[in-house]
Amino acid sequence: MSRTQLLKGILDACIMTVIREQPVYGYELALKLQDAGLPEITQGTIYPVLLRLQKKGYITSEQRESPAGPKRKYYFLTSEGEIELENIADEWENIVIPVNKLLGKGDVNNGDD
Amino acid sequence: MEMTKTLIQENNDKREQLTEDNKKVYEDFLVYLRTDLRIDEHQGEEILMEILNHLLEAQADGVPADEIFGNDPKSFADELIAELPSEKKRGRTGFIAGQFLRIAAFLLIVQGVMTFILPYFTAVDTSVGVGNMILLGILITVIVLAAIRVVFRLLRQSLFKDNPKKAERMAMLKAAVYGMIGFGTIMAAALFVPDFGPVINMEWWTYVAAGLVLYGLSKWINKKAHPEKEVSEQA
Repeated sequence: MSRTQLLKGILDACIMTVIREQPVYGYELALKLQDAGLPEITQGTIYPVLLRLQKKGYITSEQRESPAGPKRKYYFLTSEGEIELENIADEWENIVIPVNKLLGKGDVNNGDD
Repeated sequence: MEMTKTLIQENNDKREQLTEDNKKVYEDFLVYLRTDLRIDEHQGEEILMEILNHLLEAQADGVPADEIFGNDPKSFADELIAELPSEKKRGRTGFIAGQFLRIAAFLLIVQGVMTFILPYFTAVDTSVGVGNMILLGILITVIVLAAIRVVFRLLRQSLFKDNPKKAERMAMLKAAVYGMIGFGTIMAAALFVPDFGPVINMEWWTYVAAGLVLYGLSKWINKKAHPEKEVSEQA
């Protein structure tokens, strides 16, 4: 499986985390994700995710004047979004820790830890 | 909330700032979204504007369009469409009813004008079978709606292609064939279906008046179905 495919599942949480830090507009969000070390996501993939998160009520959007340039659509995390983000973070930990252990060990059957 | 019409206008203006290559990809993407009849028009225009803004900013930073659309822009568009809210049922029913009324109005007015003019030139039977009139109205509505779907589908098939000229020619050819079938069906129904239902013989202005009433009704329904926006004629 490619890194891109692995990323897709967790992209919702990555995007919500960026938005929690500070309300952003689309292009800004894409750059921040790349700066965070995820340069392999195509920038456009954030838009289906943003639509989905809005539909679920985890984020909202508002047209605002940007410091430099025209009006832009900014995204904000809602309180439902905060809760969901906590949940995903917990779930992620539940997966990541055992998977790390498993992958790090190599042969599972011989381990008696 | 910005009006849908304003968004479309703004999009037309801003699109001119795109480079040749970026414009081609973006316009394919735009047509693909606008010809998807399931999408709520306003929501569709909002996301189109957002992505246009994104593209313009990326362009200014020297980032190519495939960084945004990926190497398969069609599946990117499909992914987006899957998340967009669909047009309300009311809007769709209103659209179909409005079309039917407009076509019926057109038929009545043509009938009225013919009833008025023809007797000056030749002795004609100006009586009309009500059944035939209704059948023709329904038939034309169905064919017009089918034609809209077919044209949109052909258009969509010609997008995101490496050889747009060839794809366009194929689409035109298919459209011509479908057009002839549709038109032939209507002509055949008008000429060969025998009169049925009550036969009426009215003054020419009665048809015209009835036609105008139906036309007004279709306008009213359109307004009801799309409360905050004018129906745009732009494709």
